[in-house]
Amino acid sequence: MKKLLALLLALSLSLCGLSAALAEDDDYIPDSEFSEQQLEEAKLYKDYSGQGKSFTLAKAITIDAALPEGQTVEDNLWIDLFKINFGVEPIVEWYAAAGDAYNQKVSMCIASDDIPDYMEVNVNQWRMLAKSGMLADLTDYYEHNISAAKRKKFADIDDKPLKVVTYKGQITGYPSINPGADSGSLVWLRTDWLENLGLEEPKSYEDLTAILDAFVNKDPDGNEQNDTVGLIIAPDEYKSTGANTGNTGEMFLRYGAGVGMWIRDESGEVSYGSISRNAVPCLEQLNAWYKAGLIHQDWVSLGDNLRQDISAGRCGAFFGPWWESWNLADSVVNDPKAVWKSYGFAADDGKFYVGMTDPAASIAVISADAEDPEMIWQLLVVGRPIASVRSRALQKAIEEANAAALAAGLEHSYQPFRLNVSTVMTVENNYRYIWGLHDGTLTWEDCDKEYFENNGGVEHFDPSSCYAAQVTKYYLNVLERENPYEDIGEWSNGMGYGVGVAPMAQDNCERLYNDFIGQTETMATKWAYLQTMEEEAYTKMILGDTDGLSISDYFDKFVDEWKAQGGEKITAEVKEALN
Amino acid sequence: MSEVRHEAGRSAFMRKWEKFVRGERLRLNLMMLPGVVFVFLFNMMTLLGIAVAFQDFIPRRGWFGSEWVGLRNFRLFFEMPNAYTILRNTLVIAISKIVLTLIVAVLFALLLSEIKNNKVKRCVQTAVYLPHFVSWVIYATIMRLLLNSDGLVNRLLTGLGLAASPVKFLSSKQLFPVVMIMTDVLKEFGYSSVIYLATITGINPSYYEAAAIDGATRPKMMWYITLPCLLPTIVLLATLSVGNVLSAGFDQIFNLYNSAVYETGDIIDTYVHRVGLVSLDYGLGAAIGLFKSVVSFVLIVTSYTVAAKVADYHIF
Repeated sequence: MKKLLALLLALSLSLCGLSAALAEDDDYIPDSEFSEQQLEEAKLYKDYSGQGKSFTLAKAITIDAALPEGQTVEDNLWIDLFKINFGVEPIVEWYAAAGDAYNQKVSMCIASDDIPDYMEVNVNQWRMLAKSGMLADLTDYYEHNISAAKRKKFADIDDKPLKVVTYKGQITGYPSINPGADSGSLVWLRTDWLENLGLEEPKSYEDLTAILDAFVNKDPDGNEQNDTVGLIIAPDEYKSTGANTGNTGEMFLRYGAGVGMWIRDESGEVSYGSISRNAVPCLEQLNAWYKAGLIHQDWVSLGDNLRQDISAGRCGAFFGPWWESWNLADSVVNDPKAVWKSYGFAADDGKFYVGMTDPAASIAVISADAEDPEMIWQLLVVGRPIASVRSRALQKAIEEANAAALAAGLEHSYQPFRLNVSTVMTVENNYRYIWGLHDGTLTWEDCDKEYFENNGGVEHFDPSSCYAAQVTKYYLNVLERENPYEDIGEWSNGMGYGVGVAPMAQDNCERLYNDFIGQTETMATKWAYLQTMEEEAYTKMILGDTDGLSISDYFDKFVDEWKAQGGEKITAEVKEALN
Repeated sequence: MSEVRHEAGRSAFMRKWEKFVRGERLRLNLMMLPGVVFVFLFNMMTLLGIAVAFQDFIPRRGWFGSEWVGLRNFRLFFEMPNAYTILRNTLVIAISKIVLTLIVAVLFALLLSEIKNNKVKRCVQTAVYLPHFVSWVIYATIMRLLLNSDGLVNRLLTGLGLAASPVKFLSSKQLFPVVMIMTDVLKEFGYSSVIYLATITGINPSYYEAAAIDGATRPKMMWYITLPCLLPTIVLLATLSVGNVLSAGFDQIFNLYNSAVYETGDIIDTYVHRVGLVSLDYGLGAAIGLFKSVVSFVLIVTSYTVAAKVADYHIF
């Protein structure tokens, strides 16, 4: 009897211990650790893990982007992170260099009727795909499978991007929202040359004349050789909506012409900016500079070698977007004395006008033949809301994978999805954070609060996990150093955010959007021709190759021709579409 | 009686059959069979694709699903306001290239054949026909480096005082076609001259001996012997190149042109690429291709007939 009692006691004690051990489940993250909004968003999440699912995609890669040892485009730390995060495998079917190579490959895929489940394409390609019926219909998902924060991003700009991806009433793409700063073309100057020559910083395009003259003729680099070239601009890069090296678009806007844009003119009517008479003074200025030798003599035929003279230290002035710091790394490595700064000049009313690229410059599309279109939508749009990760072990695994990828220096462009659906002001905000933190007027908590809210509660402003925070830290490091170029990686990553975007982050920067996006009936047959005629005319006017006419008269001739060849008809169709 | 005749007939047939099977003709025909099948499948069956030129072609829907639009694509091309300019540019550049390449290649072959030192001859030959194998992407980059405002050519010109300021080879609409023609001739003449050189080596040396006895000088020999012997080859190659007169070199021009020279440098292919294919208009591209093929065909047939009637040269 005693023995039995002892045994029973021992058993019940051990059973107690066992159940206690079982009840101790620290791994599960309870509701209390998340906010209301986060829990709401987690409801949208669908768990596909453990089902062995996969999907195919195509990638555009940046050719110089660093790929550490042992990593490939198809198998790298970002893809590992993706698999841990979602439990779904992304299979990179093919990849190509971003730009012409990628576009051609996409066109080939469309032509051979063999597209992967997921691709990022431009508007023309999207239109072809939609016309061919090759895309999955996403209209429903926009209603039911999207978080309020993301939906708000589109609503904030009047759903303009969604209108671009609608074909015959069906929404068949998920459009990007590019950072607004990407489309501003600034004047980049070498301030060390300004110092060498004892010149003041310019306040207007007119001031540039004296500066360019000194840069070309007065031996700014002090090597006693006449080897410096003038301002670098690119042919066919004059639209206010574009921003590439050499784009003069914002200069046209300063004179009041929204070149390449459909905007309201003085009379309040919508018209095509390239035919506005306001473009003439700008063309005359550029032509004057060219005749005086102040513009690079070969600007028309430089082609891909546009940046050669900049990197070699022979050029001290060019047009470019805020992110030129990546390209300028070559220049400062070759000549550590070089100091670059960006400028934006205001119009007569004091405002610095910038033309915005159309939203939906890049569109994510899902193939109609995809096995599970809804899954791809979920992965792309809903993502992994914070409150959907309820296991601490899984949370830790995700954080470690993210940190590993960042530590390895793996470029962000190797992530499976690279669609930019940011807030329009993301770069300008970063500029504020950098200087606020540097001055001490902002703390990291302040920045995090704003950043977290802006991105809909998806990402914290933390240098170890968030790219925007990372570059902020980089540039703060750069500011601390004696020699800013000591760590060229940090400089080239951060300088754009800290200095490059400065003119656009000022209060007088006014952003202009296209009033009309899309295609009218006549555009389908005539627009390509009108565009090529416009490019040719603008290039010739800058060169002064105007058949003996003055630029003003040649411009009038161009406008008449433009209207006669279908421009008039298209303008009427655009006005009708807007009413 | 009839059975005997039948018997004889059958064995005659059998004999003929055996002769055929063991003979040359079957073996030769069988050898040709793979090639013929290949040409039939890939060159003749694909002619059915001409239909694309008359459709609003959408790859997904294929031939039978795309809308038939008749001559709309052709009309689109000819209605383009600068259709005449483009055609003119194409013809000017292409004809100049053909003529100039021919003259330079023949001259070069004639001169090279006069060199006795075989080693020198072979070295020069190799050096001169190597550029043909280099892609235009690379050749264009080299040309750009040479012809830029601070490139080698301009430095020579300004240094020697032949030009007051750097000449804008690639951005001047007057000079651009000239530059295109000359750089192409430079690249291709070596390869064309190989055929002429081969013909020259095949000329019977007794002609030259006879001429030497008659007291002819080398230039006279070239004019009266070499050139006439070369004539059939020249006519043949010229006839074949005439068919290419609407393809003025897309690779070259695409890599070197820019918006300042569209007026004189834009050819059919670059124009269609810029205006048609950027908007993925396959029907238009196919229509232009068909137009060029038809013109080529007409020109080749014409030149063959002319050569046959006038010069009494039958190529085939």
